Amino acid sequence: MTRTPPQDQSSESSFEETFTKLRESIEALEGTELSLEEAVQLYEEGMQLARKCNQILNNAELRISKLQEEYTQEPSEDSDITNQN
Amino acid sequence: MINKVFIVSELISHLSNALDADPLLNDIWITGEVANATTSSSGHTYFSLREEKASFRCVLFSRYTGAEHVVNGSQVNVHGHVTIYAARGEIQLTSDIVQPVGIGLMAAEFELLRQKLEEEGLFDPTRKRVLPELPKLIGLVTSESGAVFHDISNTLSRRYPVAELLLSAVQVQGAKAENDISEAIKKLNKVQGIDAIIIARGGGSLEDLHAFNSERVARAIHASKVPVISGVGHETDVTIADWVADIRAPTPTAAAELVSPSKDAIYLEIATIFSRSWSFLSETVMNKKLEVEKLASMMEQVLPNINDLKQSVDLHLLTAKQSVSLLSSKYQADLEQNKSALFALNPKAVLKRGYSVIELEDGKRVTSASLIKFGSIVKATLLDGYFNATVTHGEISGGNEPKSIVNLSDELFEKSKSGKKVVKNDKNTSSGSEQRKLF
Repeated sequence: MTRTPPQDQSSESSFEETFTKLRESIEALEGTELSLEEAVQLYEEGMQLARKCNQILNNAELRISKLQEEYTQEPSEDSDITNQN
Repeated sequence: MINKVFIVSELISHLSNALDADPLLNDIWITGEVANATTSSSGHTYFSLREEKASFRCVLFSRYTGAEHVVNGSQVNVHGHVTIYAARGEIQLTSDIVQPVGIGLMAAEFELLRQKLEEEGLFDPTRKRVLPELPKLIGLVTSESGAVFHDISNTLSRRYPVAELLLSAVQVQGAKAENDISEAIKKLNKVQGIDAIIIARGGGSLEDLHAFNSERVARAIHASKVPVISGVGHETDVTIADWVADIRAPTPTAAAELVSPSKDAIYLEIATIFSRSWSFLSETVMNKKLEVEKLASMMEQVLPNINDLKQSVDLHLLTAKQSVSLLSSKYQADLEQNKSALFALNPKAVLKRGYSVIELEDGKRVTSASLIKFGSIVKATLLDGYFNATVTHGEISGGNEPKSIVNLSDELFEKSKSGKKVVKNDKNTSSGSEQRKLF
């Protein structure tokens, strides 16, 4: 149960980043004057992001880790807490 | 013997100092029955606390709560410090808490701490932070063994499984709880990337919730750099921690719900973005199409229209045809008119009426008497033939006086004076002899 860095940070971008990009893409699509080619490109990018968001959400499982074990080796203050438990 | 004579204010000042120096008199609870309760126009409440054979003056200034409990005859616990009212030299209790009897001492202490922290600004609504919309790492301070941890992790799994839950397991009641909880909050604050901290425990008595009502935990929450969500006890339990926290959730499950967006809401938003993008793109394509159509129609307007030209040619052709036909009939009409005019001019028609044409020898037609000279031989043509004649006499008419050209014989003159210009036919006489005869 030791805390490990989130998987998405190492392999691919995280859900938050992907979802934020998706929101930005629709803002850009609707908010600015675009040529048809640019609009189509933004649309395709957005759809890719949307599919990726769905994929991440579908496959996600809540990661749970515990703080104490990480801090047991740290100075007295942290060790005290662990010992008290 | 009198060593020194005091003035009144000196005595009061002395008493005041003595009261201030006494720790018990500075922080004291008194219980009793309310009597002589009045409220001044400025909102301060004055009353006495009474027993069977004793009474003590109290004042509750308007900035403190609890005046509603100051009702004559009711039993109350009052907290405050003992002071002397200089104007009357009366000892009184300047109170800051008034509670009906029945609330335990713990509750009273809770109220005392709540007031203290409120005055310090720990509950200030303006310092409440907003939770991140899409938290990546959520800290949790609670007991590992209780139902609370499972409620929270299940809620997060259901709503927002892309997040990570970092548990700092603590005892949530008992002697160590106060220390554990405040230290856990501090430690979670040191974890990189932490987005929010939930502190939670199930419901319990005021004693069970003591740690969440402690000043230490309150200060740890206040010092947290990331937003803290409290989910302590049941909906009816409100702790000091709830007051300090950035967000107070009524239950631990509610805390997990407040900290996480819902997966369903995210799916819905993604679907909405899908449809918004598609409709926007369709609209863009449609607009471009309309633009092209508009340009095309503008071009058609600018270029000459072949059909119009053709029509115009047709129209011209028709006009031309009509004109020709009109001209033609006019020509026919003219022709008819000219025919009759020509007919009317036909000399034979004139000759038929008894006139004759007189010509000179050179063939020149005699249209005026001035052309005639004496002895001229003229040719007179009639309808059925001609004869020659020699001019013997004549006169030019017109003007004021007739002018004599020749001396025509009276006889001949007589025969010609009918007004006809022609000379009367005389076939039998030769021109020479007649000329001679005439002249």
